[in-house]
Amino acid sequence: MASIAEQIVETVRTALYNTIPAVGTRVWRAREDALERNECPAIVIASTGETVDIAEADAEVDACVLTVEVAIHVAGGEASPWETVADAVVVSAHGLIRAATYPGTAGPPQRVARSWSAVSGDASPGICVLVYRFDYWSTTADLSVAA
Amino acid sequence: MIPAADLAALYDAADGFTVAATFGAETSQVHFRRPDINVLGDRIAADYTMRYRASTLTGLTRGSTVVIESASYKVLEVPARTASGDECVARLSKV
Repeated sequence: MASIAEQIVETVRTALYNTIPAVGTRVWRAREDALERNECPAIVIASTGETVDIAEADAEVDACVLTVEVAIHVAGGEASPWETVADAVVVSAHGLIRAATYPGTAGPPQRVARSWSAVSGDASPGICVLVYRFDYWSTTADLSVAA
Repeated sequence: MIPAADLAALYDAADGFTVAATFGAETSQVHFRRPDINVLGDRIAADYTMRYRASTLTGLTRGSTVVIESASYKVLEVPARTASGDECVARLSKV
């Protein structure tokens, strides 16, 4: 059985996979290989960190905070600013991420940051990254069991 | 400054190292390059550039459209002169 963290990230992927028409199936997890213009718009999901605290005096439950980045890659071109092209995907993706149900959590994730990066180049390469915080609880003994 | 004869040889259509670029009503031989480069850490983008004699295609500026090998390209920024001043380099984006 996968850990709760893995289950959460996979739930994010499932929520976004083939559910945003402009993106379709171009949704990847932890993709380290470069994307190119013809693969955009695309979404790359990555776990970036987790903190853990002891939630109970008997140390049987862990309170975890998982941070997940959702990167929206676009190739804007000349017709619209790349930020505008990305924003349409951002709005859809955020709604889907918030609407999904995650194991071990008490509610939807909180978006804690957003960043924009771009360079001059063919079709205006740009990336908008959404950062989410997932608060969940798991048993101390078994990372795959929600508490 | 590059001697005129050398510049002419550099852009001689017969040698096969140049391609024709059309801007408006003007067609001129250019050196066209299209390597892929890595940008933003995890993106591959074509780095289209066109080098041409400064005496040709003189009206090119940001947003101009040129046609090379039947494909249209937009000029990304004002073309920059090379060190000799005899040539310019334009960065392009495929339309």
